[in-house]
Amino acid sequence: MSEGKNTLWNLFRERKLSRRTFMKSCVALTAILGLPPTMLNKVVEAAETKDVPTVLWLHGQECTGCSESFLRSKAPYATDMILNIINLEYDDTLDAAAGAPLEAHLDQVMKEQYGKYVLVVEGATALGNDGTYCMIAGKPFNERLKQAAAGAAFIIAYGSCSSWGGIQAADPNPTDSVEISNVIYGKKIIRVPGCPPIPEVMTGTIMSYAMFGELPPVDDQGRPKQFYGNRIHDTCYRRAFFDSGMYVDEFDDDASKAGWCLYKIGCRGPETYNSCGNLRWWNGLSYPIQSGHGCIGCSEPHFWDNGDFYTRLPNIPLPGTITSADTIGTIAGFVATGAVIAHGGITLAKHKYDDIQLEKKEAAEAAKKADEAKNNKSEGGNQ
Amino acid sequence: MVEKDKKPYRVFSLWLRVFHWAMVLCVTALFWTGLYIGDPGFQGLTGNGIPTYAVDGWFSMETMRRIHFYAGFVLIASFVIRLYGAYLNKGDRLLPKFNQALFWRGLWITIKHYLMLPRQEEHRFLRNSLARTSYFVVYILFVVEICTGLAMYAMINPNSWLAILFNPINMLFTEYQVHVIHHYIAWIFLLFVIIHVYMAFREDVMEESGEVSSMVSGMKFYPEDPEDIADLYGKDYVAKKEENK
Repeated sequence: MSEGKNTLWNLFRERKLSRRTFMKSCVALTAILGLPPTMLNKVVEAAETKDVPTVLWLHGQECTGCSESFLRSKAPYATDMILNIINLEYDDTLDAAAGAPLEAHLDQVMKEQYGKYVLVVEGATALGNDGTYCMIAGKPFNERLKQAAAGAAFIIAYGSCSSWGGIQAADPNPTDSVEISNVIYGKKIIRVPGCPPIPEVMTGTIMSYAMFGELPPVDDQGRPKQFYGNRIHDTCYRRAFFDSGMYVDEFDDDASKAGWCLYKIGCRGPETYNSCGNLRWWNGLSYPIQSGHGCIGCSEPHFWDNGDFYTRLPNIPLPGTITSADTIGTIAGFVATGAVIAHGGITLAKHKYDDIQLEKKEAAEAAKKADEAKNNKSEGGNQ
Repeated sequence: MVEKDKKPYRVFSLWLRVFHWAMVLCVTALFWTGLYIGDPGFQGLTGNGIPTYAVDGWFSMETMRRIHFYAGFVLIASFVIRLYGAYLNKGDRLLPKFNQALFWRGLWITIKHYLMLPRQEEHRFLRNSLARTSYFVVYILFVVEICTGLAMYAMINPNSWLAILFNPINMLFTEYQVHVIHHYIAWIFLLFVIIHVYMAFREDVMEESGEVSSMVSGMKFYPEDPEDIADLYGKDYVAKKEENK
């Protein structure tokens, strides 16, 4: 086994930290990665031998909320992450340097570590108007992204913007903004969606790579299975209220105070995959549902466009109306019933009318015949 | 006027009839439980004075969902039985044949009949073109409902084989939109049922061909061979009939 220079264990020794501290950190890492305690040996081995990965962090069309979230990671601390566990070479919001020297550094790293570095992308990329809606260092972000992606070992898409397009890709999408997988081909992209993603999920994903040199297992949509393997609904602590039919109707009612299920006021938990239910936020302090607000499905594609956040069914997009499918369906049901009854009535009336016409016709014909017979007789009489 | 000396025609197989009535029960259950799942509405009281939607624990979401899932699986099973019937029996395969002139002529005749337009023509079909088209559309909607339903159901465990099979539907849209599509189509079934029941009874009264009882006995009655008899007895039968003339 080749001994790397820039390993975690070496970093600990440089800082004169004890072996005991190192082991404790490894135990914590094992837990964060969602691994069983039996895997501790592997984690220690990896921390002793694997070089820490070089990371380049690009920002596109976004609000930097993902970085804000990342910085609040408690286990491990974001500072540990950035200073010890990964080698963060470029991040224009965190770096002390700025301007031309920083950009020159980015170019240098991309050249030197071609094919080895991890590219982290936060934010969507704009295609409209030749990409000039999002300019970084005097260049369209789209170009910068493609250039950086070409030499990346793999790419992590942090947040809903880089994963699915996010708010700027929402209808009507004036800048023609798209998710990064629309412009990057032939590279493995891991999606870590969320608006923002849970801090520990962000650090946990990159940690998997730092420790084992390979990506965590991902689902059909390229999300790490250990964090996006369940619906919020299926891990929700209020699920018992859902199953028992106990729902909040309004935000200020008794049921809301009693902490019942938020399904009826638009909770998107049943359609959303994330770890809010098990990891929760800010070191397990709380998450939206726990604080009494339904899930808005922020880690799902196009969640901005899925109707308003406080109803289960979206409104029908008819101009000047606020109505759901259930209302329209009920009205249509009554209209159909009425139409059917009317149609039946008209059918009956028409039959009756036809019968009367037929009778009249027959009567007229009979009368005509009788007349003719009479005439014939009288004519005959004359002859 | 009741025409005498009508000839019986065995149209529907037992499999189709079993499917039809299983479907009636299942769709009724699925529709109403589905409405509850979409918008839990019945109110009762718990001991502490807060209204709950689980009246005596019976109308709980858990019960409703269980009925919905059971009915769904029974429907899928009976759908398979119906396909088996269609394999055995020609009368179960009265599909719209868009490539035949008879279909388009029959469609026009039927539309004139229902709109009560003047210059009505004599029409006698095993199944008219309008019915053939609408049943075909309903079957397609059934398949859509089954697939979207399973796509939502399977994702309880995204690693199951069912999820691997049906999750692409969620990825094609988004899972939320799949819920919405499933819900919208359910309402189309309600409209279909209202019109379908009316038309079946109307046909039964007007033509006296045993339209309603045919779904129990499988038999229909006509004074002469219907125009689309080839779909039941085959082309040879029609050719032989022409010769005899």
